Amino acid sequence: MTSSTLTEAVVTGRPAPRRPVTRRRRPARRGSIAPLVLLAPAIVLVAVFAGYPLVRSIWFSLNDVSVFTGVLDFVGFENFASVIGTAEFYPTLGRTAVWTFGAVSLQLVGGLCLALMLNNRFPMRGVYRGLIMIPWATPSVLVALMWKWILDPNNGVLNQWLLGTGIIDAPIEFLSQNSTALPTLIMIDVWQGIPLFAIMILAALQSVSGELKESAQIDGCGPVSVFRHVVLPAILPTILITTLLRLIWTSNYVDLIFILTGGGPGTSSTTLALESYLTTYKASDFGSGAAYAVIQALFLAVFIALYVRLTRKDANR
Amino acid sequence: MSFTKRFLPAVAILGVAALTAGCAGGAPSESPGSGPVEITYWLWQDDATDATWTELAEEFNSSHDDVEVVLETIPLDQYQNQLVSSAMNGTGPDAARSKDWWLGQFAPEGAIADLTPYIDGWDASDDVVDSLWATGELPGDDAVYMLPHQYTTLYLYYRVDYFAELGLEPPKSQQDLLDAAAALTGDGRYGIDVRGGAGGQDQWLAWMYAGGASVVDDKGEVVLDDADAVTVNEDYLSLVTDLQAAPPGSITAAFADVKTNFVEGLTGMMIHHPGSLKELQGVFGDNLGVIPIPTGDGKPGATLGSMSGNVILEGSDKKDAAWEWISWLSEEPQIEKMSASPQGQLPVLESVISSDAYTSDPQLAVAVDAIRTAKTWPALAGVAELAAKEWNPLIQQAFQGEISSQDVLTKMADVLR
Amino acid sequence: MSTSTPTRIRVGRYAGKTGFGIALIGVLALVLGPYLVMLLTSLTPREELVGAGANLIPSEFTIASYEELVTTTPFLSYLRNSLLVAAIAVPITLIVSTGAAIAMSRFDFRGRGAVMIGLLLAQMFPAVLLVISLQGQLRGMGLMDTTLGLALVHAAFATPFATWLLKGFADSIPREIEEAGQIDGASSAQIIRILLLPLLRPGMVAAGTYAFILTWNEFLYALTFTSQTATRTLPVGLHLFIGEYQIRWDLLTAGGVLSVLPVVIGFLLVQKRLVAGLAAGAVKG
Repeated sequence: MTSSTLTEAVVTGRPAPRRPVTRRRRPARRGSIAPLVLLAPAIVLVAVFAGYPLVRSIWFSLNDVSVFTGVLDFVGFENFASVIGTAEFYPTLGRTAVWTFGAVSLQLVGGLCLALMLNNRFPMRGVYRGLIMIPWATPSVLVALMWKWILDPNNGVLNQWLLGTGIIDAPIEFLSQNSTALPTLIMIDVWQGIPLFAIMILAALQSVSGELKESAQIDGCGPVSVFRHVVLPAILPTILITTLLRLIWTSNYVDLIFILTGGGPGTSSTTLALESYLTTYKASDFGSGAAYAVIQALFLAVFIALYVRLTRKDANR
Repeated sequence: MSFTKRFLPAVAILGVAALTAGCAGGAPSESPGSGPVEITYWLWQDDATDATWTELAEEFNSSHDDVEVVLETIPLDQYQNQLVSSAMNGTGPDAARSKDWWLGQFAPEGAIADLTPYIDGWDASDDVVDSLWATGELPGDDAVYMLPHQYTTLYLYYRVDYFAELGLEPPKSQQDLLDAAAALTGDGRYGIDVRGGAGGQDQWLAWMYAGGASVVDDKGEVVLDDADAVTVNEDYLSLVTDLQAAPPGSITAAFADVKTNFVEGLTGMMIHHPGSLKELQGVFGDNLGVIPIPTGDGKPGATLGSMSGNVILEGSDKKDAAWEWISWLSEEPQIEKMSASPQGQLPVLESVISSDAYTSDPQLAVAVDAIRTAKTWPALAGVAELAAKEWNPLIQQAFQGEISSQDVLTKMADVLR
Repeated sequence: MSTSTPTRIRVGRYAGKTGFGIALIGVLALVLGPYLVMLLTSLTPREELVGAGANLIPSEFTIASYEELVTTTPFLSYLRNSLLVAAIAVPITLIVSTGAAIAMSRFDFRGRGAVMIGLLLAQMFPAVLLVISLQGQLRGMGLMDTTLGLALVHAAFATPFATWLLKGFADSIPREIEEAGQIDGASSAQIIRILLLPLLRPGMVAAGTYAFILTWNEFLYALTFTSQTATRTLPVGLHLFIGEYQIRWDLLTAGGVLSVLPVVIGFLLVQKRLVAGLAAGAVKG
């Protein structure tokens, strides 16, 4: 590469035009301490504020924690045994799966559709894209209360509208019935999460080379085929990582459920993370509370492992 | 390598800048040496815009040279967790407002201090209504852990106009109430909210106490699931399961929803306490009726009392100073001010209860009279867990007909045992 | 070019465009609808809120709740604090994760894969559990009730995803740039500062936006680690409007509108670069 191309890159602030992915060999700079220096702040920050609490929480799960004296009494897997032995354990596990997978898959599909829509040109597209992202940027207490206000059976806008147009005769108690509580929560989470998926996938869509698509079309592929064989593989890495992260974040999302239903009615919207929270603070049982979180983390670890397997295949190592 | 020379200083400079910024936004530093002892006091507030607590703190600080109190407000739904985790980490306050629900969780563990020695030396201790000391004690133990401050007793509101329309008498027995609720339901109206959401356990226990059930017997054994209790509970559940006399959303409703429903005329009756009296009198005027909670047989009985008191944390090394603050709060002028404020509840002092403000209003008198006979949640270790975690799902399941009255009470009793 | 497109196709295209337009408007309505409800509620007089049913459009518009919010509650302080925390957390996140991203993109060292996975694992536990340990740690470091302490925690939780974003972006910058720089005699530090960083800018916008959203919305750590008006943030302030017996809907919605506005404006300003930043960064992973 000549100096002029280099200058061009610097001046325009854009990376030089991308070539087909060939030279991805890492320069052999083993032994230099530069990477460690660059990496150290991140490692330290995350290790201190995220890693250490994580390890400590895992340690809690193996102990009987006396809250007020802070004394830990090692009990091995007893907490786990008692947690798994409760009658509600498997239903809670099932609900967590429904909550996590339901919400994330709907967000994925919705986000994909929205991204495809946003990939076209239309007037005020920039403003539109900015506005779409707002739910993602709203504090969860606000999201929860806004929807509580809207869904209220006696005073909420949604029920009033449904009644007014004659679609239903009696108000729907969205958050007060076993059958509708969790689905309602899922829909609210989907509402909040579609923007994230949409923006991430949109970004990936925009980086799919137009040339590739054109050459596929010239070769006689219809739009669906182009999508399947050219676009989809190109955006798959983005979809995978966003899905994985959303799985982790959604399974740990306690605020929304806590404010809107507290896990109810009954236990119909209690997830592992919520149960972890309630057990830790309301029942003052830190050990068992941590056990719930560890069990959930084990499931999440499976997905992380899956992700690593899937991406290692197409990383150039 | 010049590389590192560039990078690290940049981080260092930023770090220093951040630290300076951080210190600017930090907590006020302790004044060293001789100066007023600073204590922190935790509280929750019902109305974030009411300045009563801040005013009280300022008054205290200006009138006391040796102690200075700093208030910290925590949202109620996070209050218990914050207390628990700060107890674990030693970051808790010196004194805190507390509900009687949590007494059984904190006191036996030694998290809150025994106040008896302080109380013995306190002038105003005689002025406190005698029966209220029990709210701060553990069963079978004379030591007082919580200083009474603000109290409520539950009673029943009803719509005089609705009852007149239907030719109903104000209910005296629980069966009367069930009949009235059934009669009221229809044409877009309902009988009463059952409030299965947060905080609803108080309303439910008031019903149970009024119906003659108990949580513990004299020996301290849990009797919540005995035969009498099951019947009383069944009546309560029947409001939803048989009579459908509760409005939509009632089984997960919190107080804010219940109040809205009553104010809008959706329900004809509501169980609550004098905290809402002024507002409802303002809205309904003569159409508001107040009566004690109907009892099992129609004769006078018990109701639920709920104490919001003050505790001193055992981990504090400024207990004397903390005592000065909380005892000052429970003295006559402060109690008067607090109880008269928008967030106020019933006073705990005889001198204030007998004053005009509390004897002239017959509706308020219903609550005041109940002070001496009301029962609170017993201070068992399991009450905190029941109140905060188990009661809601269990009662909601019962309302939905998933478990029977006997089963739900047995499960609750198991939590307490 | 064709002189007359067959009517069938023209109608088809028109219908397609209209359908598309309708779909766009529908989505926008769904997304912004709740905010509109919140806005209308915040402009409703307080008496009407509790009174007769939820008439969406108030009989008279009033800004009384905004006035009350700003004059009787420390809301503006909360807003200032949220901005302050973000002003510290976002730069820290960017510096830290840019460094990490460059390290992982440009250098080969043992354990690189492990670091990536480690960053992912760091997010696996719910905050409700981690907060216990963090509280003790912050207290031990003397960072309780400080803006810096909270900002550090936020930065730590924003770093993993930000690093991933930036690494992807860095991967897409051709190596030739550095090589040319080396040929020109630049030191590593100069290469990074003069060549790489400017090119990374869109990626940093993406990572910065993500970090900002994280810290702006975060509630539990903010509640636990701050206790005074001088340090408390917006989500905590909003939560305080939920009382024991009432919810101040008027203040809550007014506060909500004021919390969301800066973010909306920010987004509108930033969205183009945000998408560009994600575009280049997201594909490689």
